Amino acid sequence: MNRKILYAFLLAQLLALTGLYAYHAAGLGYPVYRIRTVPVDPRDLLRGDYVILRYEISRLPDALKPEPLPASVWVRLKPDGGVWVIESVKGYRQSELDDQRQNWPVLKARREGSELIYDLERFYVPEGTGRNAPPGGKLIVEIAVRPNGSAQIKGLLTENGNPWP
Amino acid sequence: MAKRLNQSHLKPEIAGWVAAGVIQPAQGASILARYPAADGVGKMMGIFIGIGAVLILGGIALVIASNWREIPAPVKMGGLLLLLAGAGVAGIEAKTLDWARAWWEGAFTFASVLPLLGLALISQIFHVTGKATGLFLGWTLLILLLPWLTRSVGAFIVFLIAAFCLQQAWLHEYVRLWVGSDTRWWSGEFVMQILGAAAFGVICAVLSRAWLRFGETAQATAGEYLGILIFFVAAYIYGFDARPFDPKSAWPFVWLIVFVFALLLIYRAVRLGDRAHQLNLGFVMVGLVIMSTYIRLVGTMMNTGLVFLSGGALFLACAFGLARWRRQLRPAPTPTTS
Repeated sequence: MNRKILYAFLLAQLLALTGLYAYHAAGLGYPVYRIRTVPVDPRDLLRGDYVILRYEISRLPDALKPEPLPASVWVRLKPDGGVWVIESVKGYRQSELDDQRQNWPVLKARREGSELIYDLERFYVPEGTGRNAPPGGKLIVEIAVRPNGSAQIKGLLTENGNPWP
Repeated sequence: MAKRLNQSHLKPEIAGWVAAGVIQPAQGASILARYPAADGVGKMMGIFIGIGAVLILGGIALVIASNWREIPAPVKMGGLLLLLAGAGVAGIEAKTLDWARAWWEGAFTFASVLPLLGLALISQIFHVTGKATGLFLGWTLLILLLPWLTRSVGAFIVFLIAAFCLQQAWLHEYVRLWVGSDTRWWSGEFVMQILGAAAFGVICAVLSRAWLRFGETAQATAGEYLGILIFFVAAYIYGFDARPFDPKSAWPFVWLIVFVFALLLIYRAVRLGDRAHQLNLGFVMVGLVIMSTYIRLVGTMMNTGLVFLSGGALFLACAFGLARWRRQLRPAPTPTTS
């Protein structure tokens, strides 16, 4: 056994985990947008309680349903009051410059039938708090969107703007 | 595998040789000096260390799952990284200082589970949805080199478990979508998962033999045993729903194959010797197939009471018969010190 190699391997493991943490922590620094959602609540063995989030933007707009779209799509959002809704869904990305100029975010999504999956569908909550959803079950999610179209959940708010849970 | 000798094992033997005049007392002392005073932690202590480690790991996993908001995220992550660093350093130093194997085995096994908890913690803190395949791929990659660098049997077993979880998650999340839901070939995902597990078992058993090239018999034995165990369990379960064949007529053939493989395992274990664990597994599978086949054949035809009576009698007959056969194949070892 080479002691130096083992220490190098241990260091690599620590750096990999720290790097992954830093990558996601940095992701929260990107511009934040609000979208509407409704929570449901199951449990994950390793990661604890979470609420499944189903967004308004998870449904392909009726006007776009007849269009042939690939499994991987780009969803452009537009402001609608205090939140953001779908403006267009394309199989390719429009000009990135155009998106940035208008400051309208573009999200990468997977299409499963008329459902759009953003990998933003889970919000981990402290044990036992998942069932205390606000009356009516409507929440607003703050998401930080990277320029490459991937997004991260920053926080959950009630319709009054208070953090939840 | 040869038993590691220490002074407590040898003392009575050497005293006997000195008393019989075979060797001089000075020679006896020199022989004793060549062996360690004690073998570190004993078998019982090793079991206690193992149970303690499992409880601690379970505790850490539960603390992570509880997601206490009182503990800030960087503190949680820092604590986990410290644990990983501590376990790694403890293992490396224990091995370098030539401590008893149980110490560094425990530390490296612990260190090979912690990356999974680290990934789970990161995905919890940042609400990363992702797929299980990504989680298990990350875990497998993070510990990929650990068994080879440390020669730890525990880390190797954890690595095999990680690879098995990865394969099953990949089949569940990706392959099912690629092959579609054509039920002529697939009974949902169940058959694919089970056949995948059986294939994994065979590959794991065969590839684990590569450890013998490095002179590591413990890893080869552990990998081979785990692979055979996974294969048998998967093949046995496949007998309950043997699609794409007709499940009503195919199951006897599936279990017959399991039965024949169990007999071959027993034959191989006897031929090679020093394979008591494989011999035991072979006998368990033979008994299981006999009992299951009997209950499946008569279960719907007989009165429930008669099924219990005849099943109990068959169970006892199997247990005594197989135990007797095992004694004939592998007589009890005579007590020796070497």
